[in-house]
Amino acid sequence: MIAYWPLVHNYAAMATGVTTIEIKANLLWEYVKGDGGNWVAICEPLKLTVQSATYTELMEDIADTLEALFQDLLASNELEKFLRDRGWTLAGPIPARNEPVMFDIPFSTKKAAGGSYV
Amino acid sequence: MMMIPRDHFINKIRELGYSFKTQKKRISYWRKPNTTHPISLPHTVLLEEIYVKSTLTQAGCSQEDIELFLASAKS
Repeated sequence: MIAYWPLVHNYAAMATGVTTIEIKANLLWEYVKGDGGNWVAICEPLKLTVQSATYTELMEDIADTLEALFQDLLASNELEKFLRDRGWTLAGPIPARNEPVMFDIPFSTKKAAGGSYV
Repeated sequence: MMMIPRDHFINKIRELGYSFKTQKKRISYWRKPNTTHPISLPHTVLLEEIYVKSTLTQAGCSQEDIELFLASAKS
């Protein structure tokens, strides 16, 4: 179950006029290290895979991927349906399309069992 | 150990109907029109086999199709 609501006490956002939307999905990414030395993380609920050179970059690239996904869904007016199709709920209104928005999407990671995934 | 050239993979996902949407620091975000299915593509010359297998599986490719693609990447 995922709740979504705008952060109302984000004073920095209020000062800059940017709304921060937190998506409480607690998304799990399972990661392995590929034969070429790169880290690969997979999120099955979102059907996404990310490859990065270092673990630190993997965390950043996952966050960037999630931001790109939700910004794209918001821009194409598909965010509500996307969340609903996955059984996730909205806890607040989606901002108007012309409002600047930033997404904050916490996630967790876990080493894939057995060190391999596919 | 098999690494797949990124350009070869891009040709494959274009063939599957994905198109580039936006770029971040180290990844490009692609999406298939009329679906909400995305691909996160790293800005790197070579892709891990596990990344390619996972992404193509998530894109709906059969195992046979994936194996054929990997074989074509070797040649």
